[in-house]
Amino acid sequence: MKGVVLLLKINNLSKSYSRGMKPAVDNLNMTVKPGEIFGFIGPNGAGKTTTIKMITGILNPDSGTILINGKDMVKDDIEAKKLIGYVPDSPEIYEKLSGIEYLEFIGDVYDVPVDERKKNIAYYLDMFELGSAANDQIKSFSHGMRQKLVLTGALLHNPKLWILDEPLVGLDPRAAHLLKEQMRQHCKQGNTVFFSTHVLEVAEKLCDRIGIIHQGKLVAVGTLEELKAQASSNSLESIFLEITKKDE
Amino acid sequence: MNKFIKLLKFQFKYKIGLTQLKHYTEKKTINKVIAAFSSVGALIFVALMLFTYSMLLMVIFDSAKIIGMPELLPSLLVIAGQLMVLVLGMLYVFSIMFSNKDVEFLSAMPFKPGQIFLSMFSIVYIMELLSVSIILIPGFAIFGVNTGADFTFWIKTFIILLFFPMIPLAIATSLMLLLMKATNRFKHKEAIATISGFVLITGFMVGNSYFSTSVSTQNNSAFMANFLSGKIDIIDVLTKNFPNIKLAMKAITLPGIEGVLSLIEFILLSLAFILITYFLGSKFYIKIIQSSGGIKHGKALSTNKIKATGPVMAYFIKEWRIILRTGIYAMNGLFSIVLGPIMLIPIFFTSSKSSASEFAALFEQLKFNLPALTLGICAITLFIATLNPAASTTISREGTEFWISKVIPQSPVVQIKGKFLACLSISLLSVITTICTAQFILRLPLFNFIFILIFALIACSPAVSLSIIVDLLRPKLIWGSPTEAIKQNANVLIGMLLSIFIIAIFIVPSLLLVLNGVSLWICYGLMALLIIAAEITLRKLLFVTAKNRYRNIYR
Repeated sequence: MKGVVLLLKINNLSKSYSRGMKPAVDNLNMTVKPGEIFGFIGPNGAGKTTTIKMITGILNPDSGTILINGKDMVKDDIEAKKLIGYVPDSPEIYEKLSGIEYLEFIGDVYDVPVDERKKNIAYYLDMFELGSAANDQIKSFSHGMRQKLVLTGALLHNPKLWILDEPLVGLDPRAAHLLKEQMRQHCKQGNTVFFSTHVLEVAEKLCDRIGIIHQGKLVAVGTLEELKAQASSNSLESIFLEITKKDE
Repeated sequence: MNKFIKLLKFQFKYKIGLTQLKHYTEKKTINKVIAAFSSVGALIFVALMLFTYSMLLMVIFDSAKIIGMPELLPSLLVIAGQLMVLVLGMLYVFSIMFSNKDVEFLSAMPFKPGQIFLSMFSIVYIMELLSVSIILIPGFAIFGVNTGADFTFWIKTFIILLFFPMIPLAIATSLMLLLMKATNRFKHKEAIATISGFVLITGFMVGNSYFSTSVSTQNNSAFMANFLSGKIDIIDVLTKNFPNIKLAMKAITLPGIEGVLSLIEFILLSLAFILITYFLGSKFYIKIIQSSGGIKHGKALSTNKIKATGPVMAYFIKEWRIILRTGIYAMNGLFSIVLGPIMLIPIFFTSSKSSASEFAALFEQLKFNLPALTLGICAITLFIATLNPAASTTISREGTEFWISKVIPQSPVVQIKGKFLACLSISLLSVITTICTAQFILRLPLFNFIFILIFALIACSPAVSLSIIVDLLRPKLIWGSPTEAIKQNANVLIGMLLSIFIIAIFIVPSLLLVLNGVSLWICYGLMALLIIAAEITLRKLLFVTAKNRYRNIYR
């Protein structure tokens, strides 16, 4: 990896729950390059969300380092966080605010200039067809509408690294299509997308590289072709089933 | 019926916090120790309070006995108890029945609307019964023991106690049902309902004050003469506007068949009120809850209105918006300390002229030591202003949304500054309304008024910092409804006790010096020094705590 600028570099990352009895993430090493869509897949409880929460600064790692474009998430967290746009698995946001008030709040705390803010809000709300609901309180929004609002908030500052945890859950087919398009477009602009999913077809079609996590360890990583070669299988589904079957 | 009992049992365990307590103590041994010590501490505190309260009741009973009216004690307690149930009932109904997410969840289960309503109502009823029992039982016991009451008294009193909250709680619930139904069509329905609820409570307080004056509308000396000669029935006088209270008092104080008949009438009247409330609840409760959600698309978005502000101000605005729009936060964290003092003004106006003049005379007597009185008013003002649940729950209220605070690229200190300013502004508003109310009633000299205003405004800041530190150290992020975040959060009590402690540090030394004739300016100077020292120390401690704790706060 010498000479390649890595947007995300994870070294020996570990995290345990229940006083170290249960390792959720176990000595994880991983890199993600600029301009790529990286799919992070694994069975339930494999450590996907815990890893994502550590990358975004929500959880503290027990050991290891996370570098976002060279900024250490533990030592230089504010600078590292500026580079990230995060969409959690469950869109729990301030439901007493209106949609537009939430976006204004996000714009303020990410220091997004007013003109850029206006342009991005108008663009994404129009894209996700949320314009007419943006003045309503979030508590009246459906799950999908909340998800769209969080997506808009995460993209407001045009982050270098866009992290999404199960982003397709709750989205209608049209919105899911738009989101996938947006992920591609974001990468074309030189940014990076890192997302977890259980929908293997999406990972197969969308991702430049895929990482498979199982029992807290990264058990396979590479392009779809590389994974197929490693596992001597034809589809991501069979690769996934074969790899995650081991040690069970 | 079996399903209803199961639902009630589950609700009771969950709402009272037994489920959470069980989970908490099972998690770690240290939690068991903490829970045990807290329980013992709470028991000692309650025992001390009950002892002091019982002593006070003994004095009232002895005085009433001297004038040959021992039944005055239970009569006064019944009136106070019914009013307490009514006012607290409105708050409980609002917080437990209308600010709960789990009602929506329950409405999708195979329960009848009436069963859900009745289970929620029962929780409120049990809480009211527990609260009012603490007020009533010592008084009834003092009366019963000292008058040598027979066993029928104890049985009647026990039955009265069980049925006691029914009528006022039925009234409170029906009013809240109608209020929520009426406000449901508005966009900012929760804010409107909160303000209306507050006005309603103020109305009841004013009404009670007005009715109580009717007791002494006659010529005072003639009234006292008739009263002492036994020509006036004290129960009739005290309860002429409240038939339910009259029946309860007669049931307790009258012996024989007359007492039993009053008891039966009281029970029947209570059941009638409950039936009407049950009918209203079955018909409207679930409909109100279900219609409170839903998407009502407003005007299309215009990006021209979008403005930018700094991150501290963004947090400040967000905090205020959420408090104002969440009924239970507004009621407990804002209106109680900001509008509460103003409630005294209409009550003062409606109280009888004689009480007002007696109060004025008392104040004139106290004016002989104006500096001490000023410090006392300053202490009361600060006490009200620092009873600020918004500060001691500022992190807890984030709940599931705390992830936003953790991912945004702003340091914990910046975020806390915004929260601190929002909480401080509430305390400052409280200082202003309390002092203006005090000034309106007491007519303090201008210098003393300005002194209290300035000192109280400055002294709020360290108390707010302290309350936020408490919440940073032990935030309660796991809760099912906003009510749990603010009303079932021990941080509110801890914050309150620490605030009282810090107010005592500011005021007591100066008060002692004033009472010993030390120059006023020296006392005020000392107070200013203490406040400044606390302000610098606690603000620094707040930012250090925020910096160290934020990273380790998880949901």
